[in-house]
Amino acid sequence: MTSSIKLMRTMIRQKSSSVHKVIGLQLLALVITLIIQLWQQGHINAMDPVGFFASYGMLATMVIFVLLALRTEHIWTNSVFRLIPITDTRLYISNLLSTFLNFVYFLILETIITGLLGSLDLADFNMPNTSHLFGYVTSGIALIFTLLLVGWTFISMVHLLGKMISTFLPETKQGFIQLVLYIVVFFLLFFVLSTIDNTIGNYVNNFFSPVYSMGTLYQIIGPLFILSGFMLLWVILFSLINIYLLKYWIEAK
Amino acid sequence: MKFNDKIPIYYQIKQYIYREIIINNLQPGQKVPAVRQLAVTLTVNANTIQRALRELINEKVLISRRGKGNFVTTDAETLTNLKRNVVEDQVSNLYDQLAALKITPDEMLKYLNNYINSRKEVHHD
Amino acid sequence: MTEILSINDLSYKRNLTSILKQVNCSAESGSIIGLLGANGAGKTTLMRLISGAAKGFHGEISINGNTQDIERKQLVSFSHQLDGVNSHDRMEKIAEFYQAVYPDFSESAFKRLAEFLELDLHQRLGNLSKGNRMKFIIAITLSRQVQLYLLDEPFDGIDSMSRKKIIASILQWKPIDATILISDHHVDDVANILDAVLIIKDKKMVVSEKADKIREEYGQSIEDYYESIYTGGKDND
Repeated sequence: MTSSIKLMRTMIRQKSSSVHKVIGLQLLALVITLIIQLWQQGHINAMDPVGFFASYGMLATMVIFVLLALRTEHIWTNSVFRLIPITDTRLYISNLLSTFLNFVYFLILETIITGLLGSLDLADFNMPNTSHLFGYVTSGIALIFTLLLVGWTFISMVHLLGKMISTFLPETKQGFIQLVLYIVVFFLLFFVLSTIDNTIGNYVNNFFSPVYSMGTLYQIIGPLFILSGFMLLWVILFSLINIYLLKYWIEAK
Repeated sequence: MKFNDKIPIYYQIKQYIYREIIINNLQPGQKVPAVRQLAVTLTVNANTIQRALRELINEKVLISRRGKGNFVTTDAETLTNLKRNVVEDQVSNLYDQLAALKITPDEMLKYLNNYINSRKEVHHD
Repeated sequence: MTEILSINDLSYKRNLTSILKQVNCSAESGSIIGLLGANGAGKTTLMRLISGAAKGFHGEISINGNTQDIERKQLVSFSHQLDGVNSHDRMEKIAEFYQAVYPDFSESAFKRLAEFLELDLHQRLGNLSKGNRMKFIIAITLSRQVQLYLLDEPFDGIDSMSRKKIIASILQWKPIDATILISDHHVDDVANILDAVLIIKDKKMVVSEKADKIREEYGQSIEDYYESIYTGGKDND
């Protein structure tokens, strides 16, 4: 049997090319913007590079999310990966985790570059003087990360369910029908899940109510962690469904 | 090597090795190439070569020496018999075909003699 | 000889269409077996089912007694395992990938095969001729040290020199006790190297016979025999 570690290492290396491409393009966009700036205004302010870089960061983050999702989905039906002697559960975890770690890698690179570009002005940077900083950062990161995982596992579920359903329909070579099927599955799932989520949501909201009434913000830390926990439950549920579909329905192309 | 696809391949390989021995391409006591090498040169499956070699060993035309390979027998009688059998096979083919044309044995001899003489003349030219 | 592959009552349906019906067959270990049939008869599907690429069949597929998907993936090397490879990649990089993710991939076997097949590993897969591409696929597939190899139409549309080279590489490098199943709709390509033939017609396995038995007992060439099985049906080329 193939070792999960080796497979994951290979997947991380392969997917990291997307990270490098996106960051490369972001830097290229920065350089072009600076040149235009220089051209039009004749000078560049010390904070311009980091400012421009950060403003492209949002777009870059969206692009990397989509690119990693595409690469993840590609693996589910690819013979190269599906014929590897490894259980579908391990393949699934390796794929999802390597995608996630590449996103973390992307964030680290973004932070380092932002730090380097902004270092001219670091003297002015003051650590926010609060004892709850660690809590804010970790709860925020936990929520962002679990939301990302919900996003990727949900996309996989739409893809795999769509694939499974299409095996019961007459064979068609038209990508259009497959696309319509994905959209229908997407909205159906969305409808079902949001109904379930509303019930839970009402309950979760109770955790946030103190936040609205209190003057201090630090009480948001607890609710953020709880919300991340709920997101993680979704991730686990979606993953179980995905692994089931992979194991019994989804064929290698 | 070109095979006749209507005749079992192992049988044709046996015939091939007989021929190699008769025309001394494989000499008495000489080692026969390894199975895999024969398979590649003749473009046939190793199992088919095995089968042919096994039968040749049973017929004592080849002698198998453990760990060393297969060797052409040095037994003169076996070799003489082998040559006689192969030649007889050809002759019997010829006989059957001529007999099918309602040629009597005496006529066959005459035809054969004439033919041999005509080939000799061609050679002398 | 022992049985390496045994298939019992295999049926498979996809997209509301029946593709294989009640297939029964077996293969002896160490042999080279031809899987013959017209295009669309179900040869590729059968191989995909054996390899674990296709799912949701009825019946049983057992390789050396192992019936689970994951066990079969471990025991079978299938030429279609290269289908999803990025064709911009250089061959050496693809080989590194196989080396990393298939524990049974032998680097030395791959080197020997690549040299024997005269492949320039610096080239990108997408730039290869059809013959060279197939040579590379064969080299990768045979470099995994497994008990059963599935080669799907390895001679389809390639030049005769490549074909000869591929056949020679199979004969030269096949491990003695490994079994090779080769599918082909052009019997002439492989007739000489087959121990046995399986013939698929109309979603069913209609013949499972030793090659020399067909010649010996029916006095027919494999090709004539195959055509006699298919008479009435339109053959394609």
